[in-house]
Amino acid sequence: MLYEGQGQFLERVAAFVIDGLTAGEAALVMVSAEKIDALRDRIGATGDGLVEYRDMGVVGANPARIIPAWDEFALAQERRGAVRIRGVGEPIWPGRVAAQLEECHWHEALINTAFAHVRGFWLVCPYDVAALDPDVVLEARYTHPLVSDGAAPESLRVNALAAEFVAPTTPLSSSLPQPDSAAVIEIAFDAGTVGEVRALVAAEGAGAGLLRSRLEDLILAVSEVATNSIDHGGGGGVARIWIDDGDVVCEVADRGVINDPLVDRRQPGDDLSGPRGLWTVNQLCDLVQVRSSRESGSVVRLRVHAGRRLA
Amino acid sequence: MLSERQSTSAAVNGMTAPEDRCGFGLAFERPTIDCPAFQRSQFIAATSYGKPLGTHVACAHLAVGELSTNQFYPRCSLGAAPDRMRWLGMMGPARLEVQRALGAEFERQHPDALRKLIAAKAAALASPDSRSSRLALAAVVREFVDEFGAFVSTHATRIQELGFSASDLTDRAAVVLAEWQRSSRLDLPRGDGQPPRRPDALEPLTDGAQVSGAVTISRSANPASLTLVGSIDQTNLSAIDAALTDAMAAGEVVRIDLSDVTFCSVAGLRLLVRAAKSGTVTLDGMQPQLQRALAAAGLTGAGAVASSITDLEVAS
Repeated sequence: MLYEGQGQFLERVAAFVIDGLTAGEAALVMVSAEKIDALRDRIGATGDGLVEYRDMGVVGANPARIIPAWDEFALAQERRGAVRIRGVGEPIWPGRVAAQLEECHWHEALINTAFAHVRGFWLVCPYDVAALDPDVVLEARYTHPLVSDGAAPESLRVNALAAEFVAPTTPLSSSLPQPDSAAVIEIAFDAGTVGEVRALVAAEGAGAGLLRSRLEDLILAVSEVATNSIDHGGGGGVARIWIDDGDVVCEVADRGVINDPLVDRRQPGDDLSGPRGLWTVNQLCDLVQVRSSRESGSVVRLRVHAGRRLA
Repeated sequence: MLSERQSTSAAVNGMTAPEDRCGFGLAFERPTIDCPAFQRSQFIAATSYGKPLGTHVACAHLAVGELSTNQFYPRCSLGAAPDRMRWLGMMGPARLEVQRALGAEFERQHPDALRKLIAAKAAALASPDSRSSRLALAAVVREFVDEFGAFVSTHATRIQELGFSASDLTDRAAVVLAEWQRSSRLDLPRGDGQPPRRPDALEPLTDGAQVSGAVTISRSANPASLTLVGSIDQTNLSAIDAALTDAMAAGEVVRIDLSDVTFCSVAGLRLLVRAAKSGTVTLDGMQPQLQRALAAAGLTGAGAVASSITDLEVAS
């Protein structure tokens, strides 16, 4: 859904949510805290109990955490017997940096795959054409089965469309922009030397001013990805670390191929035997970029904001 | 007050400089100050009638010392050089840096905030009977508190890392400014000077060995326990698994002491949680980083897992 400015946003999103409410459909609204306040005012008490709000600035700080949030909502509604549900999610706002935007578009494309099997879930992604770069809005036309400039909410039906209709422009196999090689520290590892990778991250992260808790999170995340390389990526790989725009960036590359694009976004269940390494990494880092192809193998790039970066 | 001043002065007759004399006096406008304890603050010069003369950059610790009657010197309220270093050690250089960065960012985002406050207060002091200037001051103070509150909540995580609660800080600012608004003072109140508690989060990792080294496993009986020290990862999982199985074979509940585990992989956590779920193991002394990892890996959210761990802890 394309809109221009806060006024149109409120009008169209509120109409979409209220429309669902009159049909008894629950909704999850994930937008900025500011928009949540304005929507609450507009929708009022009629939404009590049926409309849930979550701050996209928090949930979507790492865009890979958004699909699990929808998942959780859809599952809870399914458990209470709901047949049709609605969602409003605005993961892209002015101020997102390039790497985040790339992952947002990837997320928007994946969401079609992720919920292709869920019937009765009507999700609207608002894009502010007045504030966003035109290229960003153009990209949205590729990642969404239907695009509406908001005339009638009825024109937005999504779930009848098959996921294959939507081709993400940043597929899993694309390559990531390369850092200035002079500033990169590189270390090869195998099953016996993952500890050395952790020690390197500990030293470099501390030097970059990462707070202890964030540094420990990053050390665990890198260690998990490196362990994946040992288990699934040919027994070892190469880890690289550098600083970019105040972020500490760590990357692990190996010869393995990741086929499942949703591998890092499936909430592990109570079953302890399922995989949860990449899931954990997404919970620990501010941005995770997964790229993989048969030709060049897999790369997982992790970012954590350093403490002294001005938010 | 007087006795304190005399005790910190090497001499009262002005022959020798007092130990708590600030050596950086008029240099605060410079971009860098050599004093490691420097805390930027704004000083509002004013006439004795409350008319502002201008704003100067000063240090939050700068006070006026008196050598003898009418003989003043710039005094560091922290004390002599060793006292300054002690204060710095208590604050931690990393925290001071975060605090400086936050202060600078607030000034950058709201460059006129302080000047507006002072101007409004000066206007209100100049005409104490004017209702409109009182209301204007109240509006400026409210605006400042709102801006400050918004800033604090945007930076809540970093402020917590400084040892403050974001909401307490906003509440406190509102109270202090309300008092200032009613007072006859022009210059803004300082903080109470109490350094906040030092959070563990800022203690650096002492060295990489804490996360890279091997694990040592020691077992003891009566009561049955297993103490793990070091890093748990895929290189030692099978050894830990074997030790666990061995210890559990005796049929007693085994207490696993994790207080010296400095790193644990997700597979390691899974192994521990699985053992705890079996009901014959209690997990003890898990460090904050392990608890955070447990939550991130979704190993506490399952409900059954969390309660089995706590139940066992209660039972033991």
